[in-house]
Amino acid sequence: MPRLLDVHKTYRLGDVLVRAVRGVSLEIPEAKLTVIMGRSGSGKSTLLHLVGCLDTPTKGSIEHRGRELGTLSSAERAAFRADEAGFVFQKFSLLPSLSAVENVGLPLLLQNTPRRVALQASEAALSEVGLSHRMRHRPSKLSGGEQQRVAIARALIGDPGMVLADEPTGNLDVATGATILDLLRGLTDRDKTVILVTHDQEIGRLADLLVELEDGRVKRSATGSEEAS
Amino acid sequence: MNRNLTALAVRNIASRRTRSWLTILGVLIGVTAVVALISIGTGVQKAVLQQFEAIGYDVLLIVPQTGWSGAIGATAGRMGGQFDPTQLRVRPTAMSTATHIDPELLVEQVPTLTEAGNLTTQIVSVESEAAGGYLRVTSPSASFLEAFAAVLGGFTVEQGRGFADPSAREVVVGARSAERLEVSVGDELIVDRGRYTVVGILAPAPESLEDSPLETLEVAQSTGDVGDVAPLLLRGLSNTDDTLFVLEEQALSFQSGSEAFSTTVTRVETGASVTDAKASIVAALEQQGIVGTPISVEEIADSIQGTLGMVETVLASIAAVALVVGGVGLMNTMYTAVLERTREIGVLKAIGARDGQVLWLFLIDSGLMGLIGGVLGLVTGCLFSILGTRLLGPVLGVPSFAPIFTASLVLGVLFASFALGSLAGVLPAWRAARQNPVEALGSE
Repeated sequence: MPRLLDVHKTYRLGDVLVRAVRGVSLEIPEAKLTVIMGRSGSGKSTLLHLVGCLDTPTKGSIEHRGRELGTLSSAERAAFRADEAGFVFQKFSLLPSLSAVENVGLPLLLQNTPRRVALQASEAALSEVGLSHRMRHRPSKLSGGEQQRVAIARALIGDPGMVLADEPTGNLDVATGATILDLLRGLTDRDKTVILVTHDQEIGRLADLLVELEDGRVKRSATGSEEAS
Repeated sequence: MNRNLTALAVRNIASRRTRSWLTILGVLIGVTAVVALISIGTGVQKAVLQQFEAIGYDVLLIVPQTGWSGAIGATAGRMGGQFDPTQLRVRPTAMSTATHIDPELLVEQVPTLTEAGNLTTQIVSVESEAAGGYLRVTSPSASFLEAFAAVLGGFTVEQGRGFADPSAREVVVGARSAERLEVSVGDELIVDRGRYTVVGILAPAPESLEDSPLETLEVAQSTGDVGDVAPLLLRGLSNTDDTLFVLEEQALSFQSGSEAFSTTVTRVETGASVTDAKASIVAALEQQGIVGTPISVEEIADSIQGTLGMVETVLASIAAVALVVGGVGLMNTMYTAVLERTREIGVLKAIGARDGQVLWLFLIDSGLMGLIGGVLGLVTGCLFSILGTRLLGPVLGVPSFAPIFTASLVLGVLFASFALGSLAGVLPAWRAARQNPVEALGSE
């Protein structure tokens, strides 16, 4: 499981030094849904990027399965993202020139998997998210909910241990958002560690572990049972 | 290299169709210009070479100098074996027998020469029953016609016969001159006040020989190197259509010729050194009391080849500028693509693409556009050069010739266009590869 110890992240935005994460220490449980909440600018997305190796901490340690992620090279971080982490973004982030099945298969294609094999796996992944009838469609021909399901299928195709979702329902209506949340929640049953970033209090109720950030610090951390009580 | 990346690059090109085609068009125009100019230039060079080969590289031309001009005598000593056009600055009022090289004697004097013949050109008064005026009369010796007809760029009698008797007043008329003078075989012409019988009319010179190598030399050298005399001399050696032919033995008696230029053409025996033969000729001419400088056909060919090569290089350089402009357009497109696809780059990195893969993706993208532009430019360049030589050649009076597409031209153009495309994409691709994934994902 990812283990964060006194993690800091500071970056420069123009002339301003932004301290996005300030001394976060956290253990993220495996095969559980961890929800990171907080207001805009609280550092939740930055924390997600650090855990997913999209970014490196300024200070502190992030350990995952015995590896110190902060010391990985650029190529090693890319390999980590390909093998260990699947990202789902608020804006779906599909490549507009590719069909749904090609978008889903892209992570495998980047790993030199033969195109036929990659697309077969992609079709299976799309079937799992209920989009077997929309495989050949370009993103522009899909609804928001369908695009997010394609993104989830893409996040899963490399069989990563973690799925990292950054405001995955932010651009969806309530009903569609609920479907997407069910889908993500269900991934824990497949032994996936799901980390979900949101500012929606309602989503926090689904969490096995709820982490609330404020000004880059952990304001509150509670397990699902603690929350319920 | 990942084949999947190539396929992805192709999809990217196809997805922004209009801009891709406009970018490819820039490369296409440059490649078209390069291919057309080089293939035409190579074709011209080959055509010229073939005509010189028809004459033979063992042929030497000798221009007598002594007595024709004081200036020539003064400069002759420092000419050495170099072809210097100033030696041709002669303005006699009539051909002087004092400068007349005896070709038979020359062959006797220089054992490595197998044959020799004279050719003289002058403008004289010519009259027929229908028309008259000053025309060019070319006077070959009988030995010249036997051995060096190729120098004339074609000497095929179509009607009547050739010269039979050196002592008879006979004239052979070029095809166009016969039309203008309205004469046929058996008619009489007054040439330089003497009556001559038309014994033959030449076949029109083939289009490819209308401007013989020597005529081409005239064109090449009329840029200032040769001056104004060489063109007249050279015109006399070629372009049979507009010429009247009278044997040298008769022309020696012309009195009213305004300008006369004589040259002796000789052939060196197979295997003998042309350089040694030239030195021997200079010595032999001195014994005849004549200063003359032999010029080999090879020297003339080299001179023309050099000039044509230089012209071709200049034109190809200008065309290359168009190609570079196409490359700049390609680079601009790639920079725009990197900016537009910043978020896409972030997504690619988020799903595991390495920096090198992003770099390759953009390099292949630009390289492919360059290659497509190169292939299409090659096709259009070939079409342009073929159509250009066929349509414009006759209109411009350029000899008919075929453009030449060498393997090195084809492969070079394809490689250069791909390399240009890739090179134009290096900086944008590098910028894409170095994108911070978090910042890239945050871009709109």
